[in-house]
Amino acid sequence: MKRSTKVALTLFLPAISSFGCDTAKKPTFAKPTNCSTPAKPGEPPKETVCDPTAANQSNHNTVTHRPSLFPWFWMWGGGSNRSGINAAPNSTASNTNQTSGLGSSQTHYTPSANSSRVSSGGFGRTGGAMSASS
Amino acid sequence: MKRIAQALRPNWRQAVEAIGFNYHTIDGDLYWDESGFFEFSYDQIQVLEQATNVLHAMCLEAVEVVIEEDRLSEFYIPDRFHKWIKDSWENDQPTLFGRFDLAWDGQGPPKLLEYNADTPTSLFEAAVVQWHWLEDIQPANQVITQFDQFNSLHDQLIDAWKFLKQNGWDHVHFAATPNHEEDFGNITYLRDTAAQAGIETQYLDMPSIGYDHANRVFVDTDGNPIKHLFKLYPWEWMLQEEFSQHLLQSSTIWLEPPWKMLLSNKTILAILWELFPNHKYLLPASFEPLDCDFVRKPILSREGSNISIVSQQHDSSQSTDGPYWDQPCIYQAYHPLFHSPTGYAVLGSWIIGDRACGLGIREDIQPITHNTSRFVPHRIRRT
Repeated sequence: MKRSTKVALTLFLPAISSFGCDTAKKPTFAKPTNCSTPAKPGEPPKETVCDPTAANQSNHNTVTHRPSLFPWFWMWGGGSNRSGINAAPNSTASNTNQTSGLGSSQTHYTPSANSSRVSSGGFGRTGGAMSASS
Repeated sequence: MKRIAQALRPNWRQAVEAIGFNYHTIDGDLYWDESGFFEFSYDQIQVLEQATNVLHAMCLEAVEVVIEEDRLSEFYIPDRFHKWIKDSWENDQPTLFGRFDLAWDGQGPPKLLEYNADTPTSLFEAAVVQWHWLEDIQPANQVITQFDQFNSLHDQLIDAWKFLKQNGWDHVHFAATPNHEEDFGNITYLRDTAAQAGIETQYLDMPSIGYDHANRVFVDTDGNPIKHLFKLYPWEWMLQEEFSQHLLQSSTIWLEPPWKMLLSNKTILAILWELFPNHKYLLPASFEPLDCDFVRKPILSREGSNISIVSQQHDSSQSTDGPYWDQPCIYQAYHPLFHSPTGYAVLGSWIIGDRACGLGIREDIQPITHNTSRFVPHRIRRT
């Protein structure tokens, strides 16, 4: 009724077809842009050499060390049993203060704002066992 | 309005899965049910459209009264959120959509059962799947000319997102409960429509929403501030969770907006009846049991949980279990649903922005619709 066009679904629906939240939530890790290969013996020193530490800081860190398997999103409390109410504290939270309240969120520093304390897991617990549909 | 039996398309599973609809079967039972369809006349659809637009206007008026008269405590919303909700209304924070659940058999005025104003689903089925079904079962030249569907949802959604984009919604985060296929399907569809409107979108699970304590902003998994967020997650759940304490300081603009929690709460049914007594689209509703046959509904129950039909006719009485048994309740006069040999039907009439523009019908062998009630497509016969 009063429909002017056919339904065109071209952007995200393939993500539904191959359903899996992991597909949608896996982050993209940008490669460091200021890296170059180290100077070889006999070559003049290069001005910019890839610094693994710097790369980690600008790309959500530990993934670099375990690139294929590390469940990055666990840090944020999503997609894992470890994010449950009885989850063991994440090591990244050990050096910061937990948020008050239920005390179940996880806290860590973001690389983009080194001085900022960021918590996550403070939403979503009620829906762990239930659909939010209505 | 009538229900017509029809043979399944031989390739129906492949057909619906090809457009991304994989939750057609839930717990082994069919959720998408094309073994029949509902047929309406064009005049009947105009009745539905008119009723939906009127109900939408009445709901907005009711919100205004609730805000002006400071009646939020009747919704059992904690006091500390009252001003924040009022501000969201006073600041005209936009709404995207809602779905009115109606009892109607094609005769007389439709009756409002409830308003799913915060996290309505079955949107993908209503907007896309049943439209493809209609095109598939009819020779191409008969669609629109002879048969049609109350369904401009897809176009209206894109237009609504375009409007939001014109008002600064360039980038929208979408969040839902992880590992719920139906929720993920609905929110992915909404992302699709937003993207088609030129909006940059990004998905994250609800538990992945972060809070930057120094800057007092919600952030995504990259640490970037969340300026606009569509959540397929009920406000009443959010308000009881840890991060609710940050809502009052945050500048994030939410879809649906906080004021929508007044309309998704069944207290609004009693308030609507108070404001518009005996209105033809409403059923009597009260905080006290009624003298007539009635339905007892917890104010925040979802998907048919903890609903009781209390009837003088023994065979009509029924109740369901669920997690909302300890909530305050409202009592709404019982009104029979459309009933056919295949079950009871509830009509879900959609509003996008401020416009009624689509219909999805759920059917169940029981008179209380629940989360696995079958979705049955519909068509309009123009002649």
